[in-house]
Amino acid sequence: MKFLVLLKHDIKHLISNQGNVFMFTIFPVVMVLLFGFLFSNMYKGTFVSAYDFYGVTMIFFTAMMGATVPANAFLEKTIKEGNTRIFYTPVSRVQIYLSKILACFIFISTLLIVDVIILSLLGIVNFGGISILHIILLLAAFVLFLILLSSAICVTIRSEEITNTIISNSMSVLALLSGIMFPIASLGEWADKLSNFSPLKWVLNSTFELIYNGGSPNYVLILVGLIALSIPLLFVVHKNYRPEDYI
Amino acid sequence: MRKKVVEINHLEKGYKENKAVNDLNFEVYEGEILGLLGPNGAGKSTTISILSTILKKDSGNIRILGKNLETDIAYIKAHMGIVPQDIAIYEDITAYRNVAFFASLYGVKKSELKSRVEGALEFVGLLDKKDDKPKTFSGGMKRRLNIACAIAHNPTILILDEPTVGIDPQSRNHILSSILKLKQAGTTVIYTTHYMEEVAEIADRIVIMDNGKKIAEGTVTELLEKYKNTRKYILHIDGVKEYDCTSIKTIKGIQKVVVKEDLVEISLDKNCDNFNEIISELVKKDLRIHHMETEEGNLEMIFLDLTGKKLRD
Repeated sequence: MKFLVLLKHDIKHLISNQGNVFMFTIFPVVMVLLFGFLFSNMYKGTFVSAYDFYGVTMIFFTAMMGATVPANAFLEKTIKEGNTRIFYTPVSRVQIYLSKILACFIFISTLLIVDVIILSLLGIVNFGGISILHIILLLAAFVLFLILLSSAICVTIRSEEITNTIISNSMSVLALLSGIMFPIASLGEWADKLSNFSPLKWVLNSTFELIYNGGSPNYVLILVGLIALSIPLLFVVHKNYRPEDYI
Repeated sequence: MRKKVVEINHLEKGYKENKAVNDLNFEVYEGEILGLLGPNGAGKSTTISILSTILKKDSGNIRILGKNLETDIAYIKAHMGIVPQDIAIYEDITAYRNVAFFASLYGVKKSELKSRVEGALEFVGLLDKKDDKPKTFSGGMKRRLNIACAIAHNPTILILDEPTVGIDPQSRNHILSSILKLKQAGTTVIYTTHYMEEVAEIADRIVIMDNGKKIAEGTVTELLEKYKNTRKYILHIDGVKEYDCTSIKTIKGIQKVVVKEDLVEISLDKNCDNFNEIISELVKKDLRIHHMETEEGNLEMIFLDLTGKKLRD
């Protein structure tokens, strides 16, 4: 019951941030429509339209940018002082950080899933019919991994600004490596090999395989891998989230 | 026999090589207001943080409401209210929602929430501001809301860590009278402050800490008793630092002479006041007194005598 009060409070805080809401509702849809329109000529004559390509990449790219949200949930200036009082209440330390992680997960994944469904229902983006369920599951696992990665950095560094700088820069590099901005392989074999380190590339490849091949041989591996990578990150949060550091 | 609600035995807490709390022992009795005094670095805040379960002790034993602080944290937390020194509220949600949120975390049921929240806000004089956001409040109003958030669940023990820092006299008086009202309602209060007059006004008993240890304990009357015959002269004299005060120490009734930068503090038995002799001694040395203060047995004097520091040092 107390956990639900806490979770509701954390979700309300995220919703009250208009920048966050814009980021996961209007931004990806506008980007899909904009890039879809601008690059439609490049995709003429192929079975993948520009809207289809950017529909998938922009949703996962926005999910990646969602890694900045936990810093807001844990450390934002306007809530930092109020959050310290929670430590005095009969709510456990574990419930406090789990509530923030879960609030971020629910907030980001719900909005992005709604984007996916709307883009699919309106026929703007092809999400592969029934494969959309697998894509949503992959998207949720990807969001969970990113939130835990960001939370682990956040509770270790304990500075919203520094955390956001690290996260934004790292995510930009990973996005660049994934090839969503331009074909990274055109830079040479070394660049192509390097791009394999971007989790964004893994999920994008798997998603395109799901849509256009009706299945992805690496799907389960990526899904389980993202969840498995999330576990040690949760352990880092558990170890480093100490009330005395916030008083 | 009075019931002990807080028992601290041989409490120790250190940071690297420094002992912030060193073999601390004291009790707090049901329904009393205990004033916890000490200069900066005395170990008050560390003690409060340990009592409020934010910090872990190194050793010692703490029992609150008959329960062990280590094993019954949830029970103890549910029965305590904490008013931290730094205002711990959300600036962007209304005063009502602030109090309601924390009351819910303390387990106040939905059916009772409205009356409890409004009761707490009325208690601190903020009911008419319940729909306003704290970012529009004055410092004093925020401090009062800070208290409301700690009392809506009707705690048995209320710990206030310097709740009147930097506020206007009106809010300060409101807070002090509120604490006395809580005491009348049966709440046990632990109150730390830098203002001696506040402790003298509201505390039933005082514990004075310095260097992590308890150095004195008792009621205001008990503590003053020891110093009731003491008078202190504070003489401001230019260049007195190099002055040899041995001759003054030999005057009858003199208890203590402390020479500082440009002043001499002379404590003496007021039944044996040889003020003229003191002045003669100073005149003999060609020293010119340009200002003089007199103090008689008060808490500030006790504190200074015990710790060698002013309370606000």
